[in-house]
Amino acid sequence: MLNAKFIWVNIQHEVRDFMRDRSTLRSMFSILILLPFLYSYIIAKAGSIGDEAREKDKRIGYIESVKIREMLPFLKQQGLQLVSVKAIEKKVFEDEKLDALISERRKDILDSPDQFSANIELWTASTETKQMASAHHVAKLISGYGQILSQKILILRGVSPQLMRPIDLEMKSLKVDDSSSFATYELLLSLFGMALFFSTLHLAVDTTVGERERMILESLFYTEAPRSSLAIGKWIVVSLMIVFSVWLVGTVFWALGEFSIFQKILGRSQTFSYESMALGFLIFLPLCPMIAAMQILIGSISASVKHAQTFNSIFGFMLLPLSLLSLVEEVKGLAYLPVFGQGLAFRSLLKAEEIDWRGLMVTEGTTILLTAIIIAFVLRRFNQEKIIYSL
Amino acid sequence: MIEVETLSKSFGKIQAVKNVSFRAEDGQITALLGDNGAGKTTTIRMIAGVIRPLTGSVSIDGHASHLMRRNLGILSDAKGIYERLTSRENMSYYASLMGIQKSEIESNIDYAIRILEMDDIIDRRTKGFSTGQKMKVLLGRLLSFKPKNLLLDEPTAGLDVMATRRLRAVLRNLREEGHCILFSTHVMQEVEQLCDSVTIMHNGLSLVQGSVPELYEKTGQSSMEEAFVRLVDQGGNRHA
Repeated sequence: MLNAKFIWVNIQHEVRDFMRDRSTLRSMFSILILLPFLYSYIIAKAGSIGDEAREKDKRIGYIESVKIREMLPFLKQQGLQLVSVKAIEKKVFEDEKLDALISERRKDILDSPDQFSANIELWTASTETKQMASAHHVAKLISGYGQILSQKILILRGVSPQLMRPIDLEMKSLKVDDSSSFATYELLLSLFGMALFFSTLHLAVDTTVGERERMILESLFYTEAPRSSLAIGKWIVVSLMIVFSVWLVGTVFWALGEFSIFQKILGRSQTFSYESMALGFLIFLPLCPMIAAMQILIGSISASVKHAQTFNSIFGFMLLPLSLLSLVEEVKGLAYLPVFGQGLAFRSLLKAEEIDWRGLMVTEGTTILLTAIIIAFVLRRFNQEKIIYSL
Repeated sequence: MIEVETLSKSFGKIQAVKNVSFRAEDGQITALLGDNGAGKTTTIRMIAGVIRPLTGSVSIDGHASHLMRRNLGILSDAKGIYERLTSRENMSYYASLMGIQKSEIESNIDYAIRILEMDDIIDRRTKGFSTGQKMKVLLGRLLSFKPKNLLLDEPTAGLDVMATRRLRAVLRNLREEGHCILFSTHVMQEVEQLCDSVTIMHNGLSLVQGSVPELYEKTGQSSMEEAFVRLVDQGGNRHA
């Protein structure tokens, strides 16, 4: 049986007790404020990888051959540093600090016999992002050189230059910088995920199994307050703290992209409107009581604080990678499930795409339903005798 | 008044309490005396209504215990307090959960401060309190809603001599005010000095109930310790 008066008394008490837990508050706030800084820096770095690959001086090795020698003036003109090498070996890459290496493959019997075509091989020695980006850049240049060459040959044979380029295609996009967007959206999701799952882990554990270990919980059951009211009071406080954590993380992240002083320090240029962030906050809002309910349930069924912290961490860590499943095309049906659906909607919001409102509403409904089910388990557990035993 | 009728409780295959019956009168201190594992704490938890008995019943002033929580102040073996709160806040929170009005809580706390002599610790956070100071807070918590019946599980455990003497004085004082006090203990001296009635428990059974002189007479002994050993031996043989 629920009693609003006792729920309110319990909420006031839990908030007061938590506010005096200075060490937990310090670590919680430090993490919630530091995380957006860290994520902003990573996002800025992730976004600049592609740019750096385009901008930095690329050192390209080559094995001497007729075709490659013909190519060299063009590649030099494109700003590449060209280094003649003798062999295709990893040691050569390391010694000469090469990003890529080009060589000409000798023709075999099945290859085209004409004197104009050549088989060029582009070698890399690492999967490191910058080197791969450099290699792709060189591959594009060589391919462009090949087109120019073929056009020249055809012009020499009397073909009109217009006929060789019937369609002129240039890729353009209205989206924000593509090279950094993937990292940004996924990192932002993970940032909110961290705030959702880990900010109140200590509070949820402390107020349930923690109180049992400190021999407090049992004495509360001797009072007039129904156990359900005590459980609901605890759940509301944990939910409110999660809501606050998500809001704080979102606001700090937004502020870091908004103000030039932070942009200079962190190198992050990408920003989102506060309206998008606020809508994102609303999308995540129903998840807060669900996560709180789950943490309270885990706290009330665990044998010790140590167990509860372990189970809660596993729960959080499992959901984080699972939330990214919503991005996989083959499992789009997951969009209607809690966590997945909110993640998908938030991603659409950040990418300025149309949000699937119907899907989102179904997701939020499922979230509320699941929360009610978990809370029913919590109340059942609180009304069992076992809640006061340590085992 | 607390009346217990044929209470039984099992945890799996272990029968912790077997048909325990006794009565604690108003204006008296009744001891639940027994060795470790006798079933005292389980009995107190059943009286408190936090665990359900397998058989039997409990009545507080003639009513079921869950209806009389406000008239039943319980100090179980779970003697934790909120360390980040002051003594006053601990007491006030507990009284609020008992449904007591704010103004009444204040006057009750003033009463507890006077009775328990806790002026120096009332507005201090309880972290780092000595066992005696913690016990004062726990008793103050009970007095903050002035229950008619008090149920105390080994209240002197861990207390030094001076604190124990003060606690006994408090219990005598509450008895004078007409409270019904039931407390469990395994300290024989305490029973001799303090109690009007004694129920002896052993292996989950209530062996006998009577006043201290009655138990002496029954066993032919002149000390509580000897009387207890004799009764336990007799009880053990009877149930073997």
